Amino acid sequence: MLTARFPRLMPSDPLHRTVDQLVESVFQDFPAFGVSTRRFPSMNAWEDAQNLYVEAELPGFTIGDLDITLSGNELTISGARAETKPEGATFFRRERPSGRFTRTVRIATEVDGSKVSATLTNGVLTVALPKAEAAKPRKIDVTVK
Amino acid sequence: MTCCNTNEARFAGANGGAAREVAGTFQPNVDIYETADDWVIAADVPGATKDALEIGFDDGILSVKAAVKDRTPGGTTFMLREYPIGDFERRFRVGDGVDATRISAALDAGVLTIRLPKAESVKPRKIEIRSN
Repeated sequence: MLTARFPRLMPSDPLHRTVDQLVESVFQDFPAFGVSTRRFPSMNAWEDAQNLYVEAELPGFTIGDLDITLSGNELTISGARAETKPEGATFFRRERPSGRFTRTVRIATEVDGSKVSATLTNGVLTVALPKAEAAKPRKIDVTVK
Repeated sequence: MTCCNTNEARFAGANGGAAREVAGTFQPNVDIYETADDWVIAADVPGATKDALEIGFDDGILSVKAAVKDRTPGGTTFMLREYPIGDFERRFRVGDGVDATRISAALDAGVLTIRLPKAESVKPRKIEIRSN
């Protein structure tokens, strides 16, 4: 149920894979969901010449609920979402996960850790990781003799 | 249960990720709960803005639509792609116990909360006992 919308991982071309390999994904507070082997949150990642972007859908979270750290080449996003149901109310349907999560992805591109930034807009988290100079594409001058 | 049976049959491909992707429309995850005065639907609609929401009530059916634009630049090669982005849509069959004229909705941080107030006739009440 944690990632019920899109349980399927679409592996990218291995040549382009700079974000990969789940290190850890736990959603443990909620016995109702059990200890899930599914990953939460689901992530998309892409790049342009300057940055690598990692995006996750985290509706109901504020930036204060989230902890984002880059340690070496591992980006970890963790946080918690409280139940919306007030005390004394009765659930009829419960599809939205709540509780704690942690997810770590390994980044194969060299990034400048001091310039990483994150925004959370309408429940969508976007982390921008600027590429280190060495990892940016460059034009090679060709000299014709 | 008086409120909010989900009417899911109309969503093509509701059981398969691939079919849902092709359709480009997704069912939001919802919680539905009952308080003393209301039934409340909380729906995850990440990426939706207030202007992109369309909530309607007609003939006992509450319909919720949220248009969500793709956020990634065109021609992007994804390094990791675990979810597609598209519109959200879901319908709920609402029983007679709801006062439809007072349904209200709020959007906060990608969570849409719809409040369906109970009609006076279905609210719990204390029965006065008269003594002769």
